[in-house]
Order: sequence, then structure tokens, then C-alpha cells
Amino acid sequence: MASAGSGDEKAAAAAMITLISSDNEKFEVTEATATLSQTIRHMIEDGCTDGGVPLPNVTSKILARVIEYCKKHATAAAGEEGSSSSFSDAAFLEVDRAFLEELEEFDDAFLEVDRATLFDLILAANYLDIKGLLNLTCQKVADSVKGKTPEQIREMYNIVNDLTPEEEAEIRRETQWAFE
Amino acid sequence: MASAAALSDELAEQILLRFPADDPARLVRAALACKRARRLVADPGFRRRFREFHGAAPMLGFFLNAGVVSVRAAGGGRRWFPLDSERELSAVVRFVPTSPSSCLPRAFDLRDWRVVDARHGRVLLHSWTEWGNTRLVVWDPITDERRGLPMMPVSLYPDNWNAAVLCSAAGCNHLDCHGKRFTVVFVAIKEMKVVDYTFSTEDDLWSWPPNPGAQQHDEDGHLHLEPSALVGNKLYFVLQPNTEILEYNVGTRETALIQLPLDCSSEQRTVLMTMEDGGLGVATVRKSKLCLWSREIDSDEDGGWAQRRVIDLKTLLRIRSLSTSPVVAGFANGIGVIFVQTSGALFMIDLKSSRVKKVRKVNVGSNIFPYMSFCYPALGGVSKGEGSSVASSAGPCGNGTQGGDEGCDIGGGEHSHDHSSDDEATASDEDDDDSSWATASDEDDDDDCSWATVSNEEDDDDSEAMTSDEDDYEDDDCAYLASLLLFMLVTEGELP
Repeated sequence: MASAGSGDEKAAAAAMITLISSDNEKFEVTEATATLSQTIRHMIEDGCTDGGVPLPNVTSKILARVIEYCKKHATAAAGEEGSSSSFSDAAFLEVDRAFLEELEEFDDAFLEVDRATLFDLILAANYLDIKGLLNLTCQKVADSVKGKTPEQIREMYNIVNDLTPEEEAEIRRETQWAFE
Repeated sequence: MASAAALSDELAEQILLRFPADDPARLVRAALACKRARRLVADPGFRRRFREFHGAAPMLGFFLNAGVVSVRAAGGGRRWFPLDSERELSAVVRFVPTSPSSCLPRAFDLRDWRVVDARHGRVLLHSWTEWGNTRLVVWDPITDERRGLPMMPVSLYPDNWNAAVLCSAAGCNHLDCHGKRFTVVFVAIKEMKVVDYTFSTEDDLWSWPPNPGAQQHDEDGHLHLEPSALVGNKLYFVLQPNTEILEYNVGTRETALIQLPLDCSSEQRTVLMTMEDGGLGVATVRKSKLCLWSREIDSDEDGGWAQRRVIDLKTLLRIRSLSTSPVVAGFANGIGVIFVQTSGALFMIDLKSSRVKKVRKVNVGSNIFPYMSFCYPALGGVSKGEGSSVASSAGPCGNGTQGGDEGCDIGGGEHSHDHSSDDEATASDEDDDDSSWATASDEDDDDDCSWATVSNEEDDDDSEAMTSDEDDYEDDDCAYLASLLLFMLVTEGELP
């Protein structure tokens, strides 16, 4: 990894892919950025990206955000030197730490979106098979219900309570410890 | 515009999988949102995936040997006091919760027991019945199953022994073992020789065939009730004074002595660790610095050690001056959390993230035995049919079967979840004396750093590094001295 990329690698990195959103907006991205999506990676491998990649499930608004994420993380992946999170190793080198902190800050800022957008990002991350983004967005939702009552959770995410009072009482009875 | 309803079951599960394992109440509250959420959380397959996603069982709390006495308080209630010569001393195992929620009671005491080991979801307890008669019990706090072991074929006097419990279920990944198959290894030093006894649930008896592989022990090593470490098929016990480790191969029964790193001062407490790479590690504190070593896997018989990290505790814990050197108090295997005791507080340090949390404002005075286990909400009896061993229990949260053979009732069952009125043995009496150390009550309302308090508030910063004020420490010097004295007395007073 330490050696500079060969000519081939440079060529591959410079190759551009066109992504087409559901509302027909075109986005030019590098292959390195696009291949964070496993779905697109497979399409590239199968050689069916000529003329652009149509993404009928993703709006331009969401696709722009997804590309923003992929650009940042593609750069990060390129700069990553097999950094380890092992507590017993050199994980605490300042370089690693600064690098990870910057990425974390980016992710935190990236997640400053309304809940509807967050769900759209989850759906897009799932459709495009971008594991890092799926993890990030799902974790955000999981964290957001911290300390929230069932009523608050329903309100936050437009969930209709279809449990009968009896069912609800039963759950509460079975899990009394959770309400102490 | 997407909303929760737009997510497939698979995606909804992806969110639920990311709920913290040490806060199962959050899963319960989510399950109460709607039928789909309840169905997803209750699915046995989800439980398996939840375990696998998190990779290691969360720490729900820790046990420690807290010898305290209880007397009738004037008001008629039971109160706890630090040791006083006029009062009766008894062995007490205390549970201190560290997770935001769990299906275990928030705090409890087991009277007349000592904790010997905690591993693979089980706790090994020891007590005396009368002079020289000892009993060992293996207890699963989650299912509340307990199994009394047959009487030891050896007198445990003098106290030169240690023991370990480990899961022996074939093919178990030890993420969530609650079955009935386990092994207890008991090692003692008798007449300068290591003797070993093994209890297996397969045979339901102790076996101690002649062991030619046992080490002749030519030095003054002493086994104490300190947490052991399991690395592969080998158990490790610290020998006092802190210069050696006894290695015991569970499969072959061979024993060996390993020198501790030279820098491990014999005056400082040493804690054994299972490192991330699966090797053996030790931790100790030297001059306010937490030092971690790991044993080189391809080392020769001399047992070479490599120092892996040195952490300046003054900086990490943000303490300007320390009246006494901190000590290591325990290590939670699998999640890489180390406990450090200063004169004024008990801290847990996440070695991966270097994040620090203050567990208690007081000195716990002895080694602690972290307890790791998953704890699921039991919803609608869905545990039936689950492939996991936990299915045998109607509700995995404490009101399950009682294996209480051999009269091994533990402490009057005060750990049950109904918070019965039997306050006598519970540590969480609300009328606790204000001498904080002796109380096990976790509701130090003013202690915002305590992990023991359920944090239902909206503050989302509890994953931040906890900092502490220096003045916390000075206040607790008295408590520290009292607990030190108590600890010493308990150590000596254990002998009947």
C-alpha cells in the first residue's frame, strides 16, 4: 500500500461513472467513489455502466447526499493504512486518531438531517448496498430512541399503535424490570 | 418521503440490531411501539443475530466480596454498616450494576457467600456451612438456575485455593451460555504441591485422579480468591505474592508456573486479562501508570512478556494528585474494560476507546468479578422453540427454574425480580446509611457519573468520557480507610 499507485491503478481511479437519479439528474463520480456501492461495483464488473447507471429508486436529493458520503469515505479508504482498532497495538498513534476523528466529525455532520431524509438514506444505502452508510444511518435511528417512551417512539417515526391494551399490558408485565 | 413503515422487516431489524446490548429496556420500549416491532424483537432468530452482531456479551455489572455486617437499626429496618468489632461479620457477595438497564435487580447482596469466579454467564459461589465444611454453588443469575456441587473431597482450610467455572457445552460459542453443562476446576496448593479437582456436570462428581503433570511448588506461592483468566484451554491464577501465575491446562491437567513481568511489583495488585488476540495479558499500576503486558504467543518456556501499553492514569482520570496509588481491580474479558480503583472512586476504562466512566464514588476494597451476559426481554413466551440453550427457561430473566438441589438456596432469593418486601438481605434499602461505601444502593441521586443510574434522560452524551472533580477524592478518604480496614479484616476473618 505504501508504494505509489501504478499507472493502471491511476487510470482506474480516474475513470468516471455516470449515475442517473430517479428524477433523471446525472452525477459524474469517480469509480473509486461509485464502487463503495456493491451494487454499482457489480455493474461495473459486468460491464454494464456505459451510458450511465440508472438508479430509479433514488431521488437526486438523496443521491447527492449518498455521493457526498461515498466521496469522503472513498478518500478515507484510500488513505487508510490498515489502521487497527486493537487496543493492544498501535491504534493510539496520533495520526490514526486524527484521521478517525475527522471521519467521525464528517459522519456526525452528515447525519444532521430530518427523520424522513434519514429513512430515505437507509433505503438508498440498502438498495445501493453501501455497508458503511447503512450501518451509520441505522445506528443513528437506534441511538435516537434512547430514553424515549414507546409513545415518543411512535410519535417520532409515525408508527401507529396496533397493539391491544391487553397485549401492551402483557409485555409490560413480562418485562417489569425495564420500567423500573 | 420515507417513514418507519416504508422499511422492510429486514431493514427494521437492522435498526433493532444496533440497539445497545447493555440496555435491553430500550428493546422493550421499542417492542411496545407496535405489533411489528414486538414480533421482530421477540423472534428467536433476532436474538441469535443480535448476539452475533454484538459479538460479545455486555457487562451487566460486577460481583465483589464485600464483608459487611448488618444490625437491626433503631427504626426496625435493616441497615448496613462497615465492620465494627462489636458486630457480627459475615461474608457478603454484592452485585453492582454497570449497565443502563438489565433484567437483573439493580443491586443486591447475597449473604454468607463469597464469589470465586464469574464466567460464561455463571457465577461460582462459595460458603461455609460450619467449621471446615464448604460448599460451592454454580449460579446463573439470568435464569436463576443454581446447582450445588457435591462436598469437596478436601478441606479448604487453610485458604490456599482458587476455582473457576467454565462452559463445557459442545460447540458453544460462549456468547450466551446458560445451559446446564459446565465444568468447575478447583486448584489448591497443599504441601507445596498443586492439587486439582474437576467437577463436571457430565459425571456430577468431583474427580481427582493422580496427576503426574502437576507442578511441585517449591516457593511460597499462595492462591487467593481472585479472578482467573481462561485462554484457550488453559486457566491462569495469580499466585501471591504477585510474582507468578499458575497455568492449568483443563484438557491435560498439566500445570506450569509463569513468572510475571519483572516490572509487576509484588506490592501492587495484578489482574489477568484475555487479550484481544486471544493471548494472556496482565495489568498492574506502577507509579500512577496503568501498565499492560501480553505474553508473547511464541515465547519459550520462560514466558516472555511484551509491554503493550502504558496509560497515565493522572491524565486519563484527570486527577491532579493522588494520595495513594490507584490499583487495578478487575478486567471484563471480551469487552476490554479494565477497572481501576483510586482512593476515592472506582473507574472503568474502555481500553479500545480510552473512554472512562466512574462507576462509584467509593472504594470497593477488593477485586471485582465482572458479569457479562445478554439479557433479552421475554415477550409472550417466545423463547420457546429457540435453538439456544436459554429456551429451557420459561423466562430468561430470573423467574425460571430453580435447580436448587443439595440445599443450595442462595441468600434467600433476594435477587428475584419482584422486589419482594424481604428487605432484610437486599442491599438497596432506601433508608441506607449515608456512609456510602457500605451501601450497595445504586441510586446515588447526586452522582451523575454513576453508571448504576438508569439514564432515561434525554442527555445523549453518556458515551462521552466521564470526567471527575478532584474534590471527589478527598471527601472519600475516610471511606477508603474504612474499607481498607474492612478488607483486611475480612481477608483475615474469613477463617471460621
